[in-house]
Amino acid sequence: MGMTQGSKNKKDLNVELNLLPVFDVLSVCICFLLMSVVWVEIRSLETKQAVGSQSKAESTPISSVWLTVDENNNLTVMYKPAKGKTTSSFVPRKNGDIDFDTAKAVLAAAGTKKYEATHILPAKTTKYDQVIRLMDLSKQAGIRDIGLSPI
Amino acid sequence: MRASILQKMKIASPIKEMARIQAKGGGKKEKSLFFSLNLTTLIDAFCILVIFLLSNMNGQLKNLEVSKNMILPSAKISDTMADGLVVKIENNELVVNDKKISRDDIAAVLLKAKTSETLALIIQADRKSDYENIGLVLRAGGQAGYEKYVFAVLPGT
Repeated sequence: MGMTQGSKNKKDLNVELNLLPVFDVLSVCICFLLMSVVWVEIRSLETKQAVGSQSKAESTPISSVWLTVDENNNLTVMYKPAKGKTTSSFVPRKNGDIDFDTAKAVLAAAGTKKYEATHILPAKTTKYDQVIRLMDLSKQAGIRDIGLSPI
Repeated sequence: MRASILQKMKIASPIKEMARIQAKGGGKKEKSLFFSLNLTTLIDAFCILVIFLLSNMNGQLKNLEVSKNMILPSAKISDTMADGLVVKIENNELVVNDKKISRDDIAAVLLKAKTSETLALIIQADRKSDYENIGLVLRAGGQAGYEKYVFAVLPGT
C-alpha cells in the first residue's frame, strides 16, 4: 500500500486531515446564517397609476377592464375593448363585502378574451386588503398590467 | 464476599491510570479510552446546511420591517421586493424613513427623498387601512415623479 515502513526518508502517504477547524468554521457559518435568515419574506405587487400617468399622445388604446368599487362594496365592471363598444356589468356586494367569487369569474373571462389591462377605481372607504385582492385576482386571470386610480 | 467501598474507590497510581487510558492492548479487559470521532459525515451535513441556507438568502437582501400591529394583506401571485422608498401607513399616520409626516407635507417629503436610483415607491400598510390613505400616497408619488408603485404583501397560499 502507500505506507512505507522500512526507510527513514519516506514519510507516510496517508495523511489525516485535521477537520476540527473546518468543523468550527462551518458551525459559525450555520449560526450566522440561521440568525440572519428571514423566515417570513415580504413580497410585492407592482402597479402604476391608471389615470394621469401618461400623456395622451403616447397612450395607445388597449383593451382593458375597469373595476369600480363603490362605498357599499358593489362592483361595476366595464369592458373597454381597443376597438368597439364599451359594455358594463354590475356585481352586487355579498355579505357586506365585495363578491370576490363573481369578480374572479369576471376577470378570468376577461383574461381569456385577451384583455390586456385592469384598472381599479376604489372608493375612499375601500379597504387596502380588498384592493390587493382585486389586483391579485387580475394577475391570476393572466392580466399583468394593473393600474390603480388615486381618489 | 462483598467488596467494600474503600476497595472500590482505591486510588490507583498515575502510571496505572495512564496505562488504562492509553492501553497498548495487552490484556483483554484493557481498552484504550482514546477514540477518534469521525467528523467527515458531520462536516458533509454541515456543508449541505450552509449551501441550503446560502441559497435561501436569494431575494432576502431587501426585506421590510413590519411592526407587530401591522398585518399585511396576502397575494397569491407576487414578485420579489424591489428597491425604493418605503412609505408606511400606521394607524392612519404616514411614516417615511421612520419619521411621521403630515398629510400636507407628504408630496414635498417624497420629492426630497427621490433620487435617480429610487424610482419606486413601496407602500406598506395594514390590511384594514382605508384606500383614502393609499390614494393620498399615490397622488403624492405622482406629483413627486415616482414611476412605479409597489405594495408590500405576504405570499398567499
